[in-house]
Order: sequence, then C-alpha cells, then structure tokens
Amino acid sequence: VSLTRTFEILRKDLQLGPRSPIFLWVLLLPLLITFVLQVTFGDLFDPQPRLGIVDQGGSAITADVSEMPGIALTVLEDIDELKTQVEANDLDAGLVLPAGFDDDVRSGARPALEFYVGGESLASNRVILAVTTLDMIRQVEGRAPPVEVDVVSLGDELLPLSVRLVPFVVMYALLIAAVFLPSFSIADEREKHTLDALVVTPTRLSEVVAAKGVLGFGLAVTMAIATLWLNGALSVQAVALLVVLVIAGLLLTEIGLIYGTASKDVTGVFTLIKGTGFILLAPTIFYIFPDWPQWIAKLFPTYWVINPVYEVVINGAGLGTVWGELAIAAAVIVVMIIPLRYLIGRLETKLAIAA
Amino acid sequence: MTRPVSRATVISAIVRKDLAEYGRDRLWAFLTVLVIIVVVVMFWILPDDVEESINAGISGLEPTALLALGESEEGLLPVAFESEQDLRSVVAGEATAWVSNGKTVVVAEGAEAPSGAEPTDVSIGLAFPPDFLSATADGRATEVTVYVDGAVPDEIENAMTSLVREIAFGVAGEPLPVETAGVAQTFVVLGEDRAGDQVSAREGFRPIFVFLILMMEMFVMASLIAKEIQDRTVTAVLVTPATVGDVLAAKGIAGALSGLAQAVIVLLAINSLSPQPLLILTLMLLGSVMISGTAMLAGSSGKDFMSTLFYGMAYMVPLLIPAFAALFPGTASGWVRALPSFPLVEGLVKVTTYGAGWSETLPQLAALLAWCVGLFGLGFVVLRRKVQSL
Repeated sequence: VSLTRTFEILRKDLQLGPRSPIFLWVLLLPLLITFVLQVTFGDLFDPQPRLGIVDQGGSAITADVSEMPGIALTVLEDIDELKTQVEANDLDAGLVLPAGFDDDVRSGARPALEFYVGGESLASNRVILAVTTLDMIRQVEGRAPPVEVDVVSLGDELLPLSVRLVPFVVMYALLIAAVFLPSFSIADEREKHTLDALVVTPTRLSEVVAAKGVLGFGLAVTMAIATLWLNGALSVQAVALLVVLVIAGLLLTEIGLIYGTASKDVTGVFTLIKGTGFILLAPTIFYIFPDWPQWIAKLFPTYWVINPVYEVVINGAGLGTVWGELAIAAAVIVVMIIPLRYLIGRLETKLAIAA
Repeated sequence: MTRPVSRATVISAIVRKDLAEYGRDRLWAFLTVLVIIVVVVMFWILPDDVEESINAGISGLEPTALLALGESEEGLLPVAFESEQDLRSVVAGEATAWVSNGKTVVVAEGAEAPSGAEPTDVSIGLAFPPDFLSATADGRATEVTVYVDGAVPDEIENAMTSLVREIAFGVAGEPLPVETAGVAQTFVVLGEDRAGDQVSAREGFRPIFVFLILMMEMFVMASLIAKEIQDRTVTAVLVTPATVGDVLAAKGIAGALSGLAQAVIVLLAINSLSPQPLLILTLMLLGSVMISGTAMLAGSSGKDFMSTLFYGMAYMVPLLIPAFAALFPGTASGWVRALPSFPLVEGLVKVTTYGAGWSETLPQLAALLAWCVGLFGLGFVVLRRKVQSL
C-alpha cells in the first residue's frame, strides 16, 4: 500500500465528498437524533407531573414548587388560561393562590383551596400533585408534623433517561460515519464504474479502500466527540475517551469496509445496513432498559466498544477498568481483517476481469 | 385505422406497469414486507394498558386503615406487608412480592412463586411503627421509615413522604389549613375524566406506525420515479399515446393505491379499522395522495439512489413530527399544527382513540384535502418540468 496514493485518494474524497448527501447525513443525523431523543423521548419516557399555578400574591408555595425536583411548574397569570390548559391536558393540575393566601393559612383563616385536575392526567400524577400541594401548604402553616419521616434509599440510583440514551446517540454517530460513509462510497464508485478506471492506473484497490476507511474513521471519531459534547457528556478522562473512541471507530470502519466491498451496488449496501443495523445498535438498548438481562448485550460485537465508551463517559472509568473489553474489541478488529482482505482481493479480481 | 385510446386506458396501463415494477424491485418489495411485519409485531408488543397507580408497600397499619387509605387517595395502590423486614427486602430487590386472595406473599429472589398468585411491583415502602395510630392520636411523636428503590423518581419519593406526614396530621386530628368542601368539590376535574381509561402506548403509537407505512410508500415511489428519470424510460413512454399528464397522474394513482393498500393491511392487522372504517379509509387515502405528491418532489430532486433517499428523508422528517407529537399529552405547538401531516394524525387520533365521527373530523378532512391538493399539485408541476427537461 502506497501512503502517498492513499492520501491522494483521501484528498480527492475530502474535496468531492461534501457534494454527496451521505456527508450531510454524517453531519446532520447525530444532531437530529440528539434533538429528537433528548428533547422528545427524554420527556416521553420520564414524564414529570405538570403543575400550573396562578399566584396572585407572591406565595411561598410557588417558590417551593419551583425548587422541587421532579415537578414541572408553569406559572400563569390568568385563571381561565390555567383552566383551559388543564382541560387541554397541557397541565396535569392547576392551583390558584389568591392574594393573601399564605397569611390566611398562617392565621388559621383556612382559605378555600382552588385546585383543578386534568381529566386526562394520570391518577399517579394527581396523587403526587395533590399530596405535594397539601404538604407545601402545611409548611406555610408552620406547624410541626406529628411524625418523623426517615427516607432510606436502597439499590443503585437509576440514571436519567437522557444519560441512558447517550450510548445510543454516540453509537449512531459512529455508525453513520464509520459504516455508512465508507460502504456507500465504495459501492457508489463501483456502481458509477470509477473504480474500473482506477485499476488501469498504478493505484491498488486496497489503497482506495484504506482511503475510504481513513475518511470514515476520522469523521466517526470527530462526530462521536461532537455528539458527546452536544449531550453534555464529554468525559474528563480525555486519553481514555480518545482510546475507546479510536478502537470503536476502527471496529465500525472495518464493518463499513466489509459492507462496501461485499456489495455489488449501493442498493446492496442499503439492504445490508437495513438488515444488520439492529445487531449493531442492539447493545445500546440495554442501557435504556437496565432491568433487562444485561448479559444478552455481550453477545453483540459492538457491545465491546460501546460499553467502554459508556464506562468512560458516564461512570468516569479509566483505561484500567475497560482494558479487558478493549482487548476483546481489538481481537475482533484483528479477526475481521481476514474477511476484509478476502473481499478486497475478490473485488480487485472482479474489477480486473471487467476491465 | 387505429381506434383512439381513452385517457383512462392509458393511465391504467401505466399504473399497472408502475405497480408491476414495484413488485419486481426486490429491495423495496422486501423492505415493504419487512416494515409491515415489524410494524404489526411492534404494535402488538406494546402495552395496551397504562400503569397509572403508585404501588406503595405498607407495613404496620391495620387492614381497615389500609383500605381507607386506598379509597381516599386515587392513584395510590397500597400493598400490605406483614413486617417491615419483608417490605425492606422487596424494595431492595432481595425478594419479590406476590398477591394471592388479597394477601401479600413474599418470596426470596429465585425461589418458586406461589401458585395462582400475581406478581406485584413494589419499589417504595412505608414502614409504620405498630403503635403508629394510637401513639399519634395520643399526641406522641412517631417515626416512619420510607424505603425507596434507587430508580424511584424524586417526585414520588417526595409525595410519599408528604403522604406520611398528612396521614399523621389526620390521625392527630389536625384539620387541613385550607377549606375543602369535599374531594369532588376541591379537586375539580376538567374535561372528560379518563382515570383508569388512559390512552395506552399501543394507541399512542398507532399514527407513527401508519406513517411508517406511508413513509415506505414515499421512498418506493420516489425511487421508482428517480430511476425512470435517470434511465429516461419516461421519455420512451411519451412516444406512445400517453401524455406527460397521463404519466404523472398514473404515478400519483399508483403511489396512492400502493400506500392505501399497505395501510389497509396494517390497519386490519392491528385491528384499527373500527369503529369508523370508511372515515379511516378516507383519511388514509388522502394521506396516501399527499405522500405521493411528496414522492414526486423527492423523485424529481434525486439524481441517484442515495440522493433520492436523502431528499426523501428530508421531506419525510418534518411530516413525521406530528405523529411523534401525538405521543405527548396536551396541545401540539403552533408550528407542529402547521405541518401538512398534522390533520392526518389528528384525524386518526380523534377517530381511533376518541371514537370521533365524520362531523367531528370535518376540519381535519378539509385541511388534509387542502394539503393533498397543494402537495400533489406541487409534486405534479415539479415532476412535469423535470420530465419535459429530459
């Protein structure tokens, strides 16, 4: 393999690549997926009870609720608007705090409680908001409760969904750049017969494949770092993070090159990716659902690269903790060189015959 | 002398050719079948009920007190435990709780479950001291332990802590610091009360599934159109009595027919054609026509497989947003409501989830029809210009 020729092809791909839609996919899809998963699905799977308050007198209750974790507070000016939003299920419940409410509570005047519940709100949200509201009013009253409550937390704390989604988002960024880009690029050149032209030059197919791989690998690592940054998950363990991303990038780029050299055209690559995409992404689902038997995730080859990413990024682990998994990933990379070399050789022969 | 051929004959011949091409394209035929199977399987896997109660394990309270607690707090399902030790072990995940004939049986993790018993998930437990009621009523301070699994959200933990305090206030005879005429008068329910009858995940995902089918149709049609343009087979058709208008009308009809057929198969398979089959089919037909228009746009823009796929995605992602928005409670944002697919999704949700009829969905049908005319017209014009430029 000539490094000069490889980098010359890489330079050409870098110049012409941005004209291809796949480049736009590589750059835009991680952003889009981050947005959709973090904003949309974060709220969907971890819905918080939504309380609306019309506070006409600067009640301490509004301030207390705003500081309370797990309750989404909306402060409104108008009671009719509050009722409209509760009825439309934009809020689970609505509370009206008239002027002087706190003083009346403290003085024992027992003001009327105006509390609206949305017909479509979950029963659990109703009980949470009602009980919490009463407790807040009790605190304003200032009377000491006749009981001491001792909270004992058992088991590991469940990470928020936004954190559990990080492996999926990073894996997708890696997949798009490391698998999609090289595989589609090779298949596209084959389909458009530009590879046929290359075989009559001193350039070898392995150099073309290497150039595609370097491009995919570089973009994969870059986009993975960008995606982690977008998700607020860039680790302080910079060296460990770089090492795990490099190994993840290498493994996935190899898969991309295998797909590209094994398929006769772009449609073939598309079919391969559609057919096997689930296998590549499957380990990331187990982070979203920690109750599932986690050993199943280890059956998938990409587990050995995504788990080190997870450990380093989320749990702050160093290389000492993940070296075993990285060693397995490295072994997979080495083993996959065999089919890749075979496929490159086969494709080279086919191109030579066609020429 | 050759008998003049009617427009309908020409168009139907091209429609047949397009549908035959669709069937011959192994990739798209395979993916279409795959998506239909995946959608149907996913629909039936999704839960059809909503877990809207908080299961709270409780020890130390008498059965009558537990019953009163369950009746007074909608959304709270008290699960009685004989001892604090049992309750702690279940919350800690060291044992599992099973309910049989109203009694809770605690079984060590890995041990065999009692026959006929139903498992119950208890991730929060309130351990009252045995003398809680008498001591609190006598004005003596007591201590209640709230056991919480690490996965329990903050708001539930806080609410259960508040509940314990409120129970104690109530037992101690302390009145509420606010005036409450009664539960129904104080906690006023606005809108139809759907407690116990919430929209399940299965129902919520239905518009997305339907849209996935239409999306496949869009990709297939866009791909076939792009291929005809690239291979210039469309120009070959134009040397026959067919006009550009016939070709484009046929493309639209073929796209709408294939989309509608797939949607009907899926709707039948997921048992979603009732209670208003004709109304649902009308919505789906309009949706298919709208998507056909989008396919014409994507097919005219793409130069090859990848670029057609890219343009298809670019057109479809905005159209998918209303289907995702339907998963969330409440009113969709103004910009989501402005998207062409919103009336289709809203109409489907109203009919299949809330049982709306023709009169209630008239605004959605009218809006969808307007979007159909607009998008199909736009696709028609763009594709005609493309074909004429060949």
